[in-house]
Amino acid sequence: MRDDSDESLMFRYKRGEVRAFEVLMVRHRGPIFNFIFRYTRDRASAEDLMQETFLRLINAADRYEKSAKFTTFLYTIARNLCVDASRRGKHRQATSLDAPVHGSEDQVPLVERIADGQKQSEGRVLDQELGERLKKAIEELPDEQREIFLLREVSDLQFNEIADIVGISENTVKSRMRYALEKLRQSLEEYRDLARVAP
Amino acid sequence: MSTLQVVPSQPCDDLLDFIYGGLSPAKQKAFEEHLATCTNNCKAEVEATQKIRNLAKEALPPVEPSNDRMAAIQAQLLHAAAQRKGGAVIPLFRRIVTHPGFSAAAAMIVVGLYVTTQWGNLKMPTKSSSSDSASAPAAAAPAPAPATATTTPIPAANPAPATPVVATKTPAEAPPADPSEQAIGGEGAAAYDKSKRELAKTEQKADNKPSKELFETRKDAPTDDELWRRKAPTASAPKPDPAPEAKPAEVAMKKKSKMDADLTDALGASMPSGAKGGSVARGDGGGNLSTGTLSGGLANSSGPGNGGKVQLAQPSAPPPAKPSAPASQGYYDAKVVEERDSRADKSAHTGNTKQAARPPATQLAEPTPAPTPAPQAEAPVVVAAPPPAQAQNYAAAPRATSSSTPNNEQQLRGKNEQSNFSNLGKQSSTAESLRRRGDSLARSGKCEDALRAFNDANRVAPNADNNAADQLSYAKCLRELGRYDAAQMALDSLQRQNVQSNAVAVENEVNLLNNQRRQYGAPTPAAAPSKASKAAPKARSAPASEKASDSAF
Repeated sequence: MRDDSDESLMFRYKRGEVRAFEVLMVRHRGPIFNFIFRYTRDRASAEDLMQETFLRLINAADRYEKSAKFTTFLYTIARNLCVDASRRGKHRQATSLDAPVHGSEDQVPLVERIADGQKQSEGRVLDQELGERLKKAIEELPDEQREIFLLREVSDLQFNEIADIVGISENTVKSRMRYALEKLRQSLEEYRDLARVAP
Repeated sequence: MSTLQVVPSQPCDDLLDFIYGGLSPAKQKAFEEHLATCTNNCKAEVEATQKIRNLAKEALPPVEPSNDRMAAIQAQLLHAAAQRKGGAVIPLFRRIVTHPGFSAAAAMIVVGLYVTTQWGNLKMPTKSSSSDSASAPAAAAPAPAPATATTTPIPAANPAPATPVVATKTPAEAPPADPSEQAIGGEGAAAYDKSKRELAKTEQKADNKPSKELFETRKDAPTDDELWRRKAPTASAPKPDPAPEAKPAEVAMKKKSKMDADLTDALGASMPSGAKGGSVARGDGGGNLSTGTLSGGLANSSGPGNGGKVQLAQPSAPPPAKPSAPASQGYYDAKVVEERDSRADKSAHTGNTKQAARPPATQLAEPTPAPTPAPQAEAPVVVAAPPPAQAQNYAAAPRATSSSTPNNEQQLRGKNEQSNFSNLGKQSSTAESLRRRGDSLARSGKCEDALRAFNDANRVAPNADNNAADQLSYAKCLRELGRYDAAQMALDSLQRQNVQSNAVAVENEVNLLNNQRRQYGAPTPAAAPSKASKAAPKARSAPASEKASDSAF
């Protein structure tokens, strides 16, 4: 059963095999949670939305059809929940490591206060800074560009699948992705030299 | 999923597909060659995008929920998934049951089963022999039912040839079984069923149970009326109302005789010593005509057999005071008083069998010419039916006969006319024709009918003006019927109207009235109309004095 495709497992669960659902859940809970977490930027909300996603999958099992890809089916549910949550404002802004900590005398960013047990090389520091910068840039992307970027980069879905999930054409998906990459590149302009240098 | 294929206008458009490996090997190779020669700096862009992707992978590592939280979520999800357990069977069942057509189909099936069972019960014979017949071989010759009045079981297995039916009293004879229908499967069964049905029919007739065929085929079936008549002595059903069948004249006569008896009793009860009659309110003191003295000598012709003879009786206590006429002396008021008088008389008497003392008008000496039956053009109009109270009054009032014809004939004629009036009551008529009719009836001496006609005319046109002749006829009829108060009111109204042309007639009427009262010992009122007119205002106050004078008797 572990080697079965997602579609076959789903059909088996549709016929009443709860074990098939369990396999599916174990297989996809990570990526789903990761996507939701990156989208909402809040762990608690991500856990709730992940649970809700699978619950909706259970309820919608009767409507699952063979023509639909399972991942598309699953991510569609997750994405819709994320969009609803985003509209309701359930997710809250993640604590920025770069923002100054209120109440501190020196106004040192949080990221500098976190003790790192390992010896930080300069490269790693730069990577970390670039990474933080990138994360911030991704958070600053518009929702429609961000979801495309996350679905492509985090969930590793193809553009045609993303088009089905979001409900737009593939060209539109590519266009949004291009715009997202452009914005991320501009935000990292000051680190252009570092980007060139970085492996 | 989009099936639209991207057709890049420039090789640079394939950059994203090149970066994310969406190009075919040939296209990818071609794009690599393009990168070497592209002037849009596609190569730099490709490198920057690759860097960003690498940074994103490091910056966005896979995140998983905590183990505790994940375990709880997984348990809940598995529990929810197990609730849905049932697979295709349950969903299919649910799908069927929840389908909107399912309930309709189920209902129709239930109804069909019910109808089928009920129909089967109706068709099935009531006898237990039906069970025996079921076991009969289908090949058996269907022996026709021995057509006797008694019930006989269906011959079970009788392969004997069919015997002719010996019908005794049953109209439907079972035909002899056709030998050709014997012994072969369905043909025998059909004949067998047919004979079974006929037997059932015979049994039903024997048991006096009506069968459908009887009522469908018999043409001499009793009607509902006949059935009612047969059951009339014992049935609890309501009997038909005999009123439509009985002759109106006979009914009216019966009613009148009864009312006459009641009136006689009532009049007798009002006079403790038997004196009957009405009080006359005259303002000049002449109204002291004692009802006792007046009525004591008069007997009401209560029955048709009484030839209107006056039977003198001893004066007795005065009758109870009657309600006086209202101040507005008029034609219509007189009518009201008349009705009130009749009602008061009826209610006052409680079964006293003493004779009523209403003087039949014909017995009083009056110079009125014998009423000749004037050629009355039978008015084609019809009058409205008088109200029941008035009808009773007319019935209870003494027969005012002014002609020499026997009282019986006149009463019958009056009853006939009354019945005619009643029959024609529903049709409307003009007030004028009614008054003319009333006048003609009054001239012919049929005062009851005349009064009725006048009342109907007033009802039809209450505001119409009445000529003096009609009013005089009306007053005359009232007087003849013993309604002295009403008659006086009518005469007073005539006087007030200053109908000079009828002054003489009025004077004559007044004189007649005075003669009546004088004859029976009542104080004589003023004779002259002039005096009467002067007395009119006093008449309004007379009732009180008259009551006192009446009570003195």
